[in-house]
Amino acid sequence: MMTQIKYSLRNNFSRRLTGILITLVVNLGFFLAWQMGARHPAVQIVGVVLSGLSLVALIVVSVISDVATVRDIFRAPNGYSLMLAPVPGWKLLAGRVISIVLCDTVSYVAAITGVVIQGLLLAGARNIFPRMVPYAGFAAVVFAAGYLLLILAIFFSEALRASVFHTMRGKGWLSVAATCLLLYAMSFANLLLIPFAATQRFGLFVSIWLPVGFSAGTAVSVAITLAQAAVLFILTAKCIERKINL
Amino acid sequence: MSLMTVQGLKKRYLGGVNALDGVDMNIDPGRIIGLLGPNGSGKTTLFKCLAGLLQPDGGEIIYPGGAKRGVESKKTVSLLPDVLRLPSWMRVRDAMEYWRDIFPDYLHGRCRDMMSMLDLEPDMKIRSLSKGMQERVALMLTFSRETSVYLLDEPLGGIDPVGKSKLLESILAVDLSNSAILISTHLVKDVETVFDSFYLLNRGKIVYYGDCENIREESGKTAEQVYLEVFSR
Repeated sequence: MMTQIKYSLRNNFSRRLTGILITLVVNLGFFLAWQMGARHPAVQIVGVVLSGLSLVALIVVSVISDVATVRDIFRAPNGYSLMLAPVPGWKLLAGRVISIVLCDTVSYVAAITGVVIQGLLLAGARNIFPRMVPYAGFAAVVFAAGYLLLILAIFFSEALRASVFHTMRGKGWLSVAATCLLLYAMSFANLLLIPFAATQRFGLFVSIWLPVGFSAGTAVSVAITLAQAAVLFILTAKCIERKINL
Repeated sequence: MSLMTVQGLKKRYLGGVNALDGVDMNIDPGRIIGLLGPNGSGKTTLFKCLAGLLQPDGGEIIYPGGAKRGVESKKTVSLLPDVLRLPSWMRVRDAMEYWRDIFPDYLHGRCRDMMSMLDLEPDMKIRSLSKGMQERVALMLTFSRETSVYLLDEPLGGIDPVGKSKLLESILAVDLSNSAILISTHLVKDVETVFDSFYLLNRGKIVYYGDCENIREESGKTAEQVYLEVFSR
């Protein structure tokens, strides 16, 4: 099992690491720039815009990574080798789930660090664009809607792929689709917290609400990681028992 | 007595395609058996059912030693899939370690013997190997397990003549005193020299079974000639 964990980690980690590096380097860079630029508006504007872009980059990398994880499970990773192994399904899954949880935890810790820095930048931006603050929520919804569309496209393609590869029979692909949707909806809900926490209008309480929001975000992130692991475990174990017949 | 028996095996895919339509088959110990048929005849589906990757819709598979379908039956079958996707960063040595980790019946000594027979090196990187060399790695891993039945799905596809000769040599070198090899292919001419007998599969049904030696003695025909006769009707 250790070899399996090691290899799964190695397969997933490079993708996760890309996202982590993008977030940390970009956000830390702009945080330093913000500090060095003190109150200079130009530095703050650039910081906010590029920091937002780094968040988008992180999301793209996370989506790619999650899709790859789901795809790996349903496409029988490493050819058929794991599915052919004469060991109980839970042992095979345990290795993969541990890898996913480890990778996700590292990703989320990095993402939360980035979000904290981003929140500081956005809080600074409130002083520059006070009139834009009410529209920030709307922008977040538009952004989230786009993300949802992307998710819909991904889960449909994954579900179709699963049925095409005959790992599912009959209407089994519907359960795959529903689970993919659930996984991404949870990530999506978590992402929604970020812009809302950063753009809420209680200016005087910003120093209180932001830390509260980030603490909640941390808790949600941990819950999502655990829920993802549980859902993946249950679904895949069921899939293996019913369809693959380990 | 047969190692493995298949009775009336059926598999239907989404969209109503009958991939297997009542397949009967006996796999006897010490034999190298061909499973021949054109593309889409159901060879890969049959192998996936035998290896436990697909659940049949009907019929029965009696595994060696009466093993129950599932974890027990997987101990009796080693499959060389049509496509083996190993992570590209792996070296041959990593793949061997990986097999040792997930297959309790892995025999390292046998794997090393196969490696040298197939001109492979432990430091070779999977991603830098040609298709033929990757096929050699897959074959090495398949035979590194001590099982009763070896299923080789299109082992010679896209391999040059020297590579084919190497692969066939290594197949013939396997000790089959308590096991058998089933080879699926549509490239009959390339591989028929190693067959003891063969089945012809068409549209999910076995349409012919013959013992190579008997056919040669009785009619002077090769497996390829029989194949062409049956499928050009």
